[in-house]
Amino acid sequence: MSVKQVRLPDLGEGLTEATIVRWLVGVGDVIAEDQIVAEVETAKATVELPAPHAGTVADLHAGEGEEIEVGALVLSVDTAAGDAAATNGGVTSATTGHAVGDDAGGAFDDAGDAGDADGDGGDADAAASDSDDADDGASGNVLVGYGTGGGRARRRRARAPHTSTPARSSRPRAKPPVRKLAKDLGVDLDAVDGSGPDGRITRDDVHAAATTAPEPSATAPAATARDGARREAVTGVRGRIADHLSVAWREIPAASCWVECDATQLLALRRELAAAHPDTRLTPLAIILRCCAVALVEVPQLNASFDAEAREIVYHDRIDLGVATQTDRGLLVPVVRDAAGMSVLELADAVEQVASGARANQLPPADLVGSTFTISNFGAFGIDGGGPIINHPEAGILGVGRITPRPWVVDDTVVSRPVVQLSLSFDHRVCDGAEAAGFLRLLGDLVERPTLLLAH
Amino acid sequence: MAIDPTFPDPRSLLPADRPIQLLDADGTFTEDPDWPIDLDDAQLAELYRLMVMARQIDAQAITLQRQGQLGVYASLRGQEAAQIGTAFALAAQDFVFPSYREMGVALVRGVDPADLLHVFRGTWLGAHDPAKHRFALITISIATQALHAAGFAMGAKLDGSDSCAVAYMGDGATSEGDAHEAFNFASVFGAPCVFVVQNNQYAISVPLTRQTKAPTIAHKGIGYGMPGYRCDGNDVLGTYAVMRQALRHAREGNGPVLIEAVTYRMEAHTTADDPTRYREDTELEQWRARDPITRLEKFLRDRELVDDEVVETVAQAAKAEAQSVRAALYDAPHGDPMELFSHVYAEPTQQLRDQHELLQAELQGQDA
Repeated sequence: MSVKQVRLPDLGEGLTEATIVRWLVGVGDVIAEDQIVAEVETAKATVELPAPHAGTVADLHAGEGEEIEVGALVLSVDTAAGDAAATNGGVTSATTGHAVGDDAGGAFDDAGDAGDADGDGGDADAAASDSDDADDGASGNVLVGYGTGGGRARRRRARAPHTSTPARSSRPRAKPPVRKLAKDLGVDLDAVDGSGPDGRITRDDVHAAATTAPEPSATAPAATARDGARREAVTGVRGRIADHLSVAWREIPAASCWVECDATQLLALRRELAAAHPDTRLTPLAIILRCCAVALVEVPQLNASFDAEAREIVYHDRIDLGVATQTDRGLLVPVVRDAAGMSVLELADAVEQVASGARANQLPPADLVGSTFTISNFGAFGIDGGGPIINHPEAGILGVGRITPRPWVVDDTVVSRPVVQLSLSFDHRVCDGAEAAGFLRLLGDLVERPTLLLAH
Repeated sequence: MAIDPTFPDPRSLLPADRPIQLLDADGTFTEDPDWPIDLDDAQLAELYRLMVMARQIDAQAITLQRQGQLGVYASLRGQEAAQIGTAFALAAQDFVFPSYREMGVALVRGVDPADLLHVFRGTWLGAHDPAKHRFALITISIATQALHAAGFAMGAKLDGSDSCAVAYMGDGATSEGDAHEAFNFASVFGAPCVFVVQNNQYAISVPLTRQTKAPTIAHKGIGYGMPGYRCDGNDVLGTYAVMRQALRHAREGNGPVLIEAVTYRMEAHTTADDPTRYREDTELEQWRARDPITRLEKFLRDRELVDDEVVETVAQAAKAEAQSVRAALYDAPHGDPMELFSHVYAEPTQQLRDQHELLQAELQGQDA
C-alpha cells in the first residue's frame, strides 16, 4: 500500500485556511487524477478541489463544515490499491503535527473551546503550511490586481464579542525562515523577545528560546525516532483542542483547590424534584450547576477574563456556563447562556439540549464558543477528582467528580455517605487564593445543603 | 480653428456601428468584402485545433492551481477566438507583448505552455525565449506592456524593419495612464503597432460601464488619431480578418491601430477570485451560447472539414498535451535561491553583496 497525503493548498493568494463545504467522495471510493473530490470555501470563494493522485480514498481528514489550515492534511489516497494490506507498523505520514503514538488518555478533564482556535490565522508558528508565504494573515504580496485585505474577508464562525481572546496588536516580527525554524523547534514566537533591529526575532533568539523552553517540546526527537509508532495528523477538532489548550497552559498561571462534599441532601433533593417533574431528566449535575451559578454571582472574580494586552480584568455581565462534552469529534464546550437566572429544571433541560446537540453535531458554531465559566463533569468517567485546564480566556473551571459512597465522619462516627469532590482551577492573575477558596467553599456549602439555594 | 486638412477624415477612424463578424453564434459564415480572409482548409482546421488545445490546457492550469502546484492562474476560457484569431494573422517577424492571460497567443507563437505556466509556479524556469518566439515575457502590472510595444514599434520604424509590435491587454487596462501614453506615442510617431484590447466585460469585478464613458473602447482610437476596429471577439474568423487589416495598416507606415475584440471571460478573473459576487448566471448563459469553439466547429462540420472522428482526435491530442504540461509542472523543482544575485550587475553593489551574505547565512542556518 502506498498512501499519498494531500495537503490543503493556498487556493487564493495568501489564504491561510479553508472550510470543507462538501465531500464528493468517501473513504474507499476509487478516484481519478484531477477528479473533483470536495467543495471548499475560502475567505475569497467556494471552489472545487481536484485530487492530485489517482487511487482509492484512504482517509478524509476533515469533516464537512470543518475549517482547516493551508498545509494541513485534507485527504489520503492509496495509490496502489490491491497491494498487500497495510500493517499498523508502517509510518504512513509525515505530518505537520508531532503527535506520538496512540491517543490514549483522552483529555476528558480539559475544557476545549471547540468553536475556534484563537488567533489561528495570524500565528505563523501555528500555521501548518511549509510554503514560504504562509506566515501572513494578509499576504500583501499579491499578483494580478488585488490584495487579501487586512485579514479575513469574512469568517464563517462568529465569536461572541465578550469572550474574544485579547487580540495581539501585532504579531512578533521575524523573517519567514526564522518562523519556520521556530515552528520546527516548537518555539512560540509570542514568547520570544527579539534582539534584532526593531525588535525582530533572529535565528539565535529562537535557538536560545528552544534550549530554555521549560516544557518538553512536542517535537521531542525520541518521538520521531521510534520504530513502529503510528503517526496521526493533528487536524480538525483535535488540532483546535491542541492549540486552544496550549494557549491556556502557556498563558494562564493556574492554581487548583478542591473540596469534598457530602452529597446526601443533594441526591435527596434530586429524587424529590425528579418525582415532581418526571418529564425532565434531572441529574445531580443540574443542581450543582445551579449552585455554581449562585456562587459565581456571589464571587464575580471567577466569572471574568484576564486581558493581557490591555492589562485589565474583564468582569462579565452575564454568566454563560460552558459544559465540557465528550463527542465523537472530540471535546466540545456547548454553552448555556445566561445561566444565573435559570432554575434547576431549566438548567437540566438546557444542559441536556446543548450536550445532545453537540454530540449529534447539530449545534451552530456560535453555540460552541463564548462561555464565561466552564464545568467539566469528569465524574461521568468514574473519576474522583483532577486538575482541569482552564478554558482560555476564562478565569476558572470547575471539575465535578463522581458521587460515590465513602467513609464520612458524622458526629465523631464514621458512616457511609455519598461523596463528591469539586475541583477548581483558577487564573491566579485574576484572583487570589482567598477569593477562589471563598467561591469553592460557598459552592461546597450549597452542594451539601442545597436548600440554601432557596435564599437565592 | 479648422482641422488640419492633411489629416484623414476623422470619421474613417471610428469603428463600424456593429462589431465586425464573419461567423455568427450559430456558425453561419457571411463574407464581408471590407474584411477579407485568406485561410485555406488546413489553416481553418489549425485554428480549431489551437482553440481546443488552449481550452484544455487552461482547464489543466486551473486544476494545477487547486492542487497547490501554481500560485495563481488567470483563465482565458471564452477568449480563445480573440487570442488565437488575432495571433494567427501575425507575421514571423512581429513581436507580441502579452499580459498575463495570453496563453492562446503563446500557443500560436510556438511557446511551450509549460514554460509559460512555470511563471505561475514562482520559479525562474518560466523563461521561454522571448527572442526566439517573438513573444515577450508576460506582464503582471496592468498596461505596462503597451508601452513596451509602442517603444519596440518606434525602434522598428527607426530600423526600417517590417516588424509590427502587438500589445495584448484587457478593457480595464485602457483606463491606465500607461495605455494612454502608449497610444499617444505610437500614434504621434507613426509606429507600426497594434493594440489588441480583449474587452471581456470586467476588470476583475469592475464592469465596463464603470470603466469608461466612451461609446466603445474602439472609439478611443480617434482621440489619438488612430483607427479603432471593433469586432466580435468570439468569432475567430472575424478577429483574424480585423487583425490582418490592422497589421497591414501598421506595416504600410500608417501608424497604430486599436482593436477591440468584444468577448467574455467565462471563468473567474484568476483562481483567487469569486465571480458570483459581481455577475449573474444569466449573463454567463448568454455568453455560453456565443461560445467561440462551438461556432467554429459548426462551421467546419458544415464545410465537411471536420467530423466526429476529427473532433475526437483533436480532443484527445489536447488532453495528451495538457497531460504533458501537467507532468512538466507537477512538483517541478525550484531553482537555487542564490541565483537571485547572479545576473543583476556585472559588478554587484555593496548592498547586493550584503543581501547575498544574508541569504546565504539564512540558507545555511536552515540546513544546520
